[in-house]
Amino acid sequence: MSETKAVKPVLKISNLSLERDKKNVIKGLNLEIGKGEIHILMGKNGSGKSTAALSVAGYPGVEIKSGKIFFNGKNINEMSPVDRFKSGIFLAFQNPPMIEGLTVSALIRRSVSSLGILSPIAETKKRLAPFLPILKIDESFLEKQVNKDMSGGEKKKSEILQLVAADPKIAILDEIDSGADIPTIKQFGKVLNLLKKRGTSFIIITHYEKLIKYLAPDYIHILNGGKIVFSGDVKSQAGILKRIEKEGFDSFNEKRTQ
Amino acid sequence: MKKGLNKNIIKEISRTKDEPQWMTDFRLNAYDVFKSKPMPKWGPDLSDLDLSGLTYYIPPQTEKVSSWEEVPSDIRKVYDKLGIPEAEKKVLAGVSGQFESEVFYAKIKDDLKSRGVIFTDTDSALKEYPELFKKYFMTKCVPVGDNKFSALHGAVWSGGSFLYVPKGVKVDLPLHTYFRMNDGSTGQFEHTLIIAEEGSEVHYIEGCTAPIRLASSLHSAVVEIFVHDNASVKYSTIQNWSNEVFNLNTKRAVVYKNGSIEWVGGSLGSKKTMLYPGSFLMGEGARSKHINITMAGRGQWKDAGAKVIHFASDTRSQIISKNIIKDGGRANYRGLVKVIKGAKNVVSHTQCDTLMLDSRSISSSYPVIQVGDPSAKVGHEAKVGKIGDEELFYLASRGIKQAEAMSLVVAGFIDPVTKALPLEYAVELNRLMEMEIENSIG
Repeated sequence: MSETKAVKPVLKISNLSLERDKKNVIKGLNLEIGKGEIHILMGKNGSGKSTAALSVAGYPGVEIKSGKIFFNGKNINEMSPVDRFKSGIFLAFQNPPMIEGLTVSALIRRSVSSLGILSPIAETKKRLAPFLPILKIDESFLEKQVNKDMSGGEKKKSEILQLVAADPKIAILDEIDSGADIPTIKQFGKVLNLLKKRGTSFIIITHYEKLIKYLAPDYIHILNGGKIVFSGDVKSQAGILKRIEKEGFDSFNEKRTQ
Repeated sequence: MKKGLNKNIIKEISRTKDEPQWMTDFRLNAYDVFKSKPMPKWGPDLSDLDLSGLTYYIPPQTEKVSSWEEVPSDIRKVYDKLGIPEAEKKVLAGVSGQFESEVFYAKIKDDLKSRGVIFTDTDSALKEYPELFKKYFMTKCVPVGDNKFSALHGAVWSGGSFLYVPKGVKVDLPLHTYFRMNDGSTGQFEHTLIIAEEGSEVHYIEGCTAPIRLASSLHSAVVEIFVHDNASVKYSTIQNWSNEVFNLNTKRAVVYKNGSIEWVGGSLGSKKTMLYPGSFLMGEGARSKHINITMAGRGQWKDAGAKVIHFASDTRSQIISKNIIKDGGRANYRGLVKVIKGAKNVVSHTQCDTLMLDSRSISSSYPVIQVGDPSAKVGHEAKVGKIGDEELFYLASRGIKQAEAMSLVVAGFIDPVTKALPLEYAVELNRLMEMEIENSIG
């Protein structure tokens, strides 16, 4: 973003270069996310979207070659994934792994406990309550083992549920809409809009416009070749999605800030 | 008692214990059988087991008592730490404690005593119930010649529990025995004999632990269980040996018509373990269930499984084996399911799951299935899972630290075992597992 934000950004990525499996995937990424903003990050497969997301959450398999990640003004390059979560960063996984024997409710409880909340059980209940009807989740879902015997959509629902329980300052959703059907995506849209109103910031990685349709995103960024080649605010760029659909991501080969 | 083993030492053991002549002869005969049998050529390498360097018997350090107040304070301290006297008050029908070779404490609730239940140490049973003893001790279930270590056991056995449940008596609380080996370079050879008469029910729990020792020790127990018609026995054990112990056991149940045996085992620690509880389903409709979990860490080699022989029609068996390996440990499943010709409509299912906490550890599976009757339905499934970096990062990204994350995954994995244990022991097993994992992470 070229314009300087009036308030301090929640997350600031500054000139970040990342290596994954010895490959330079992200080359000088710059991004600023303000409080309560929804940023859409798009780009074709292999453009580095997931790598960028993982690096914000502290995935040890992604190496920072240069640049800095600031969270609430603090450099978090060296912060552990656990501490990033505790300080308010949440990553919803594209392909969350199965954790056999651990139920969704037990995971959520532990997760909330780690935040240092005194009565995690009551607090978890309180945090989940408004969202269970929206997501059409009953008790039996909470007692399922994490990502075991779950459909693609259910896995994503479990991620969203963990997100609302964690109540983070910023959530990065890596293809939360893949594997989910339209009614489910609609539910996600409702949840995210509610959280946005509370002040949660979002980076939403997606290939599709389905989810975007149900959201009120603030900015859209297109990643290509490890760099943001296009950034724009959604209101003034109403035609952007159509252009992506028509011309593909490759038409955005240089950065144009509007 | 001197180190090593010869006929004089065996005679001395028998004399110290003031045994009848037939038992002295029994021991000497068992020793001959032991000498004549070669070391097992399969399973873990036992070449580092120095049988001549062991002390085979440690005479009692205390009188046998039936009140914790009378137990010498140093031994009492060990058991207090384990919470045994406390547990006896709350959740057990009877307790027995063994330190080194001899049982020092045995007690059973009065109402069970009056209904004819016998719960005592095996040495006392030899003297007090000679008829029962002679009928069942190392005869039909685990004969002396079964294997090299059962023969050694026959020669030097000492201590263990003797449990007799009369016809129709249902013991509603578990009975518990706790063994502890404190000296290095010793052998512990306790003999547990359980007889459940027709229509009776009992849950027996055995816990075995050894503190950290440098010299090697041998634990070679024999467990014999007789489940008569319509009786049901559950045998649970949590073993947590120190890393120098060779744990070579023979455990077996003979199950008659419509009887049922359930084995629940948690095996931690030890250097090398060979353990294959057996169920011989002799009578029609007899059932067996084996649930076993082993954990093998650095320098440990666990060879464990089950042996089920279906001698009769309509018998059922189920085996659930769960191995956890870490820090380059080695765990094998070794199982035998055999259906004898003429045993109709047998159903058997085996499930072997392995959880690897790192990629340096080794796991192998040796299931042997011999089906002698075409009507049998015998199934086997095996699964190997690994806690990978991906899972650990996922849990970390939800605020869960590595040690806790591993414990969570392990607790989920062993859930079928902990579910089968009384709450206190389930908690204990989980705690032991957590300690193992924390130690390995450092």
